[in-house]
Amino acid sequence: MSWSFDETRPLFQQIVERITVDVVSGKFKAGDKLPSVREYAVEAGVNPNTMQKALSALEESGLIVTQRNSGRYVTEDGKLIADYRKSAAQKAAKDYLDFTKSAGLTLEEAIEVLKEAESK
Amino acid sequence: MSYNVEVKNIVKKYGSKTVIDDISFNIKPGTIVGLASPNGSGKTTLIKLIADFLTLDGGEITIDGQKVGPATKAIVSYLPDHELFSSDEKVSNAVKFYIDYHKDFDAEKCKQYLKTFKIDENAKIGSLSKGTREIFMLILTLSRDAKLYLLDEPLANVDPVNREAIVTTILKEFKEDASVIISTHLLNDVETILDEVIMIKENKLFCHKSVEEIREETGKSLNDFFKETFKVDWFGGDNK
Amino acid sequence: MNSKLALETTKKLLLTNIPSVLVYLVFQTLANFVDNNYIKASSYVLGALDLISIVLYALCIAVVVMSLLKTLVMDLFSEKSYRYYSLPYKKSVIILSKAVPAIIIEGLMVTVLFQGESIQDLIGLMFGKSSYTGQPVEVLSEVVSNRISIFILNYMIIVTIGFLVLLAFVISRSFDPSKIIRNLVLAIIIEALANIILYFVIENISAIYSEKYTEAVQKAVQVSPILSDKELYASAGLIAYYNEIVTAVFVLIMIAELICAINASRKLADKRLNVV
Repeated sequence: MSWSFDETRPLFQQIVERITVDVVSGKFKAGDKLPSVREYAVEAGVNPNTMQKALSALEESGLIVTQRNSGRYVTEDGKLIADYRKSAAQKAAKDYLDFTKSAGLTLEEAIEVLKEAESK
Repeated sequence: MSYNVEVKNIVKKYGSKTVIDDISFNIKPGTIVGLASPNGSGKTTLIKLIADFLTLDGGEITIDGQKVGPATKAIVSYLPDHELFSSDEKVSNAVKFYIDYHKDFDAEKCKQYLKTFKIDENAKIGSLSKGTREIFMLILTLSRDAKLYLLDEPLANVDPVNREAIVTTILKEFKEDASVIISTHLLNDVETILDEVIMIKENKLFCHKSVEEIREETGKSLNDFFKETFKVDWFGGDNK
Repeated sequence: MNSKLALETTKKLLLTNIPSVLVYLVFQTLANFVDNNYIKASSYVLGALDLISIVLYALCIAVVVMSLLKTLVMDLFSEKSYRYYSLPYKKSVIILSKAVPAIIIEGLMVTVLFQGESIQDLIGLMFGKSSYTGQPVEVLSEVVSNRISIFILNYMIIVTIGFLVLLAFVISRSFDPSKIIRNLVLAIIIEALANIILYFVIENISAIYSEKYTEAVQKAVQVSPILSDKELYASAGLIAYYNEIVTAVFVLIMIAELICAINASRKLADKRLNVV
């Protein structure tokens, strides 16, 4: 089953986001081997050139490393992953607070809602 | 830059009607290109010209450096948009035809795919569903080790489940030294696998662009970009 | 011509046609044998044999027609032809590789069906009796050898007509099919020329054979008055009707080409041009 995309935006960006989420959420752990470009492209349902572009961008950011002759791996750099995790969470938090602000909640009320949601 | 397919200023007329008017484009190896234009704009004519089924009135087409002719048919695998075999022929006979006459046919790969899609080699082709028949024709076409794959409407009249199978198979058989040209209307189903798109409007080349560029520049999906390019005001401003 | 394609076509045609023609010939020989050697056989038996003979004959003709339709029309001039035209050979090579075996083999089958008595006579020769007349072969050996020549000549006429039709199709189809009017004119001119040549050639050859044949018939009639010269002369086959046949075939080809041209121009108007 291919990934679902928003075809009005460049796909390569969405692939970068998706793989980042996969790493950050722990679906791929530090040091895990990634599928080959071709396999990954088939899994995602995208053109291999697009997948290649996305993986190159992730390599540049350091989240992915290439071992010559052996393929691509998630970085072993735990701190880097933690940083990405934090900034992903920060983004989600900002989105949440933007929402609660426009809905008229105070910061304390917003935190209350979070606590209640956690206990359910 | 070496190109797999070079189309230079081609012209094709039927009597006094010009169906293809001075079209040029080049395709690099390792690209999947979509060919999109409204019905009757010369899509199938263009494909048949590249496949050497029709002759040019002007211009030139070269594939892997050779002018289109009997020699290029050996490196071009063409899937037309209609039945190739009679309904009372067996699947195994169709496979045998490809084995006998196409030197670059990979019989092992074909048999593997037949197993994957549960196509019985002893079945008559007419007994397969339309979707399965289309998949079978695609398997035969892609099991050839060609430099150019021409797929003319591979998804037409096929249900969504089988359409996905077809698209996935095209992706799986991606080769870095070959190109694929897919002529289709069903852009929704294929746009994520296309590198580039060629659009023909009023018998001339409208654009040949990377699909990602179109998304970035217009903020539209390829499907919507197509609709906008070829829109016709059917109801004279009444549709809101 | 491509030998692989030609061989495959030849194999298929032989497998389809030989069984039916063999059955017919065997049956016909047996029937003639009964007819000539069991004069006391009841008319019912003879009638039944005749009926079966006619049915088998019709079956053989049906097989010939179906084979031609499949090999030529379906495989070369319908949508199913795409798998052949995708092969890395010129279109004319593909057409010739299928059509040449078809004309040679089906031409032979048609001639055998048409000129069955020649085969009967050959078999009669082998058994020391002319199965056609029941007369000792020595009397008719000259007639028999002439009949064989006539068989060959008939076969040549049928095959030549077949090749003429094929030529017309190759010219009109292996070029760009969108130039149908030009191709039609070309085909008609070539066909007309070929027919004129054939007319003069055959006329002269058949004149020679007619002379020899008439001589042989007269000789045989002198020796064995049971035979009527009409019976023997009637088996001259196509040569006797050459003029009529040439005209008829020419007209048929013209009609066929016109139908194709009209059909093709309608397709042009529909913008759905088939590759051939």
